[in-house]
Amino acid sequence: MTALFRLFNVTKNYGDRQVLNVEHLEIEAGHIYCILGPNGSGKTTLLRVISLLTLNDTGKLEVLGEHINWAPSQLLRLRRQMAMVTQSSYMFEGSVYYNVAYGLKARKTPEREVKFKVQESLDLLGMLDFINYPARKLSGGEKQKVAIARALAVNPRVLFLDEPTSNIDPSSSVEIERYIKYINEEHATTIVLITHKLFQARKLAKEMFLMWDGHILEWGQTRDLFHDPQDPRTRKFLKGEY
Amino acid sequence: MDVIWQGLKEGFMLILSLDQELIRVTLLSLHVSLSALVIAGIIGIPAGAFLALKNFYGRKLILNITYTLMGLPPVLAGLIVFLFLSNRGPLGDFQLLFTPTAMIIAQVLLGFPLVCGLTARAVMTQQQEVYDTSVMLGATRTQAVLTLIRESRIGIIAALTTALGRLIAEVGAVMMVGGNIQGKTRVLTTSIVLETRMGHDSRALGIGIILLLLAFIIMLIILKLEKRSFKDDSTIQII
Amino acid sequence: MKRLSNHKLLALLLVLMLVVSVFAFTGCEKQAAEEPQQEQITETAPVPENPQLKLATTTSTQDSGLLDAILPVFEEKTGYEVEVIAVGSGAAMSMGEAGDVDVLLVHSRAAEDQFIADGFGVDRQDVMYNDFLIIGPAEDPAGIKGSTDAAAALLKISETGCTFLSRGDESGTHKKELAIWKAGTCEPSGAWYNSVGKGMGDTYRMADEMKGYTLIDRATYLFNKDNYSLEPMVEGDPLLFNPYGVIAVNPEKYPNINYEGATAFIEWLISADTQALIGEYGKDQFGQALFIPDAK
Ligand SMILES: Nc1ncnc2c1ncn2[C@@H]1O[C@H](COP(=O)(O)OP(=O)(O)O)[C@@H](O)[C@H]1O
Ligand SMILES: [Mg+2]
Repeated sequence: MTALFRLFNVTKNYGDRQVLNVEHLEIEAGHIYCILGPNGSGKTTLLRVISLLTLNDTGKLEVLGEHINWAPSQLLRLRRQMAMVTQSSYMFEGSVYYNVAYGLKARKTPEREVKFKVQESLDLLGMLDFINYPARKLSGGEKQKVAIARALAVNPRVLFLDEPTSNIDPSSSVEIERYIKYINEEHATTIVLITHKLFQARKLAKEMFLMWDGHILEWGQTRDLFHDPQDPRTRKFLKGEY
Repeated sequence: MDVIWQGLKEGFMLILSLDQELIRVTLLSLHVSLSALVIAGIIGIPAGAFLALKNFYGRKLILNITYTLMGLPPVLAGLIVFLFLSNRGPLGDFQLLFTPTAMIIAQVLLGFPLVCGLTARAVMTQQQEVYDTSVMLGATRTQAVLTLIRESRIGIIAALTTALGRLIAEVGAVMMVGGNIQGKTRVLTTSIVLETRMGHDSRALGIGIILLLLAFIIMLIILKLEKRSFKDDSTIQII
Repeated sequence: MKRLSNHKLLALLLVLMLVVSVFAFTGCEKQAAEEPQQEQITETAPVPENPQLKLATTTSTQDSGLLDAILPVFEEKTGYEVEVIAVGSGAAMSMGEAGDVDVLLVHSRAAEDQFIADGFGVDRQDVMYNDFLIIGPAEDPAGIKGSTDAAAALLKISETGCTFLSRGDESGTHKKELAIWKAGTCEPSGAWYNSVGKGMGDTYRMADEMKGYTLIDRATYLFNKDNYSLEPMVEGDPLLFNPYGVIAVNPEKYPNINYEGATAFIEWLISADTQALIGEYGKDQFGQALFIPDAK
């Protein structure tokens, strides 16, 4: 098993505040990972660093087996194998179709294939009816679904999901969880998921990380972490006491 | 009051009469201002986006200069172009003075800072997440920047309409470098000045009405185009 | 915290600039309002009932500097304050027709007669005349240099199709030009004939840039000739003389008109002293007079 992502002593500062300090982290291909932690603990920052959206200050970073030198060509090549659903699920001005087709068009995919893929992904998320709807007019949950469809349309090797079900109703949430599992199993897509829903992590993730003040407090098999947390703070967090 | 009434009447009579001279003047106005707008847009939009997105030494200064030049007095722009194109100026050999080309050049000088500055503003108000979303969907840097510009459309269209309004109504620069030559470089605004100077107030007012109508029609067209590209955009509801 | 105070400082600065400008402006107004009072106290001149006199005149009298030279004498002597509105003869006349001004100093004989015939003006008096000349590029492509026949010269320009610039603004100069074309029985038109619709100074400048011929009054020519390269081609033809007249706007049409002031102005203008003053103007600067007095 090769590690898709490998980090050593990666740090990130904003001003004189250190928001990320990861001594060691490895993410392997084909699994679902969950990142948990309180607000502001650096989860999004970590995701942004490994998806090459934010430059780390120090440390060693390997993505998809490559040492990162931040050359534009490398960034493009690597990013084209990943996709992200951001916390805000930003929608471009335009229809849902325009949004979901965006990644395919950026890759100069033939028009017919674009249409097919867009329909397929929207259908999978139950959003096909909204295909011609102005994306900015969708509700928060609908936007998140479209954002997921948009990320899936490009068939990524790695999918980053930053609190993808935060605005989604329970039954749709269950649908999405089922779907996350499905694409992981069907396409062997590696998924890194940030969530605040403990049961979701428990249900989906093979491994999970607990973040605290920019550090990875604990990292291990989901079952182990839930049953036998090493750090007292982990214990409290998982009990919902933070 | 009499003059105003008569002006309104004369304005409509002028439009109805399809006066050859007036048609030529109107078309030249359109030709000059629209050409200047297109050129100012072609160089101003990318320049504005560049200023908004690229960090380099002196960027702040250039931005501030651009904002200042947004208020460049037309006569001054005219004078600068005049001095360059004059027989005694560095570009005198091209013999461009008192031609529509000279008028377009002067108006580009007026329109460019406006388009560039307002575009920069519009692009700068876009959030980091636009760029991030775009590159995470596999866009190249260029594609992502184009997307940023596309997302700034409302602001950029506002920039273009503002510039057009300034150009079509501008008289100082076109008067100076165009020369207001009948049948060659006379436009609506310089006609108004001339008619006023000759004491033909109602005719001047009539031409003014035509100018306003023209501006109105162009704005309608731009707004229509804008609407079409923003099917999903509607106004903020204030209840 | 620091940022915030910085912003506050800037905002304060802006407000300060605004306040200062407002104060400066109102201060100015006050001063302006106070000044004449002081003057009136120190002056011995009679104070007219209505000291505001509006004079519409052609740009040439203003641009030549004549008015600046002689009007202060009138103002000091009579206590009137003359407000000069310098426009084309046509516009000056329509201001008179609208009763927007009190007195006119113009040069467009035929239009003046019409103005009086229509009952808008009274008390017309000859004041002075100046003359026009045709100027053109030194190369003289039309071959008219040295001629004293203006009509023939213009005819030649039209035949050779050399660039000619016309004021084209219904000014006295423009009307004079049209009269000369008419005298040569020629209807000017074509790409060589540029009707620019501008004042004399601007037309001179354009003619210089375009290396064209144009008709110009001597005052404007003398005033600017050092800046440009065009040379005199035709002068001395009686057709090129240009008489100025002063006309009061008819008080029966517009009772609010300052007819008293207009009368005082006309009387002063044709007085022997003023006529001498006009005859002297320009001699020290150009070596020749710009206007020849001819009041009867
Ligand atoms: N661009 C930025 N500039 C300054 N501070 C930032 C920036 N992005 C994130 N931070 C700070 O870094 C910390 C970690 O943020 P984030 O990774 O978004 O937390 P979360 O775990 O809630 O996703 C937060 O305190 C946040 O305020
Ligand atoms: Mg977050």
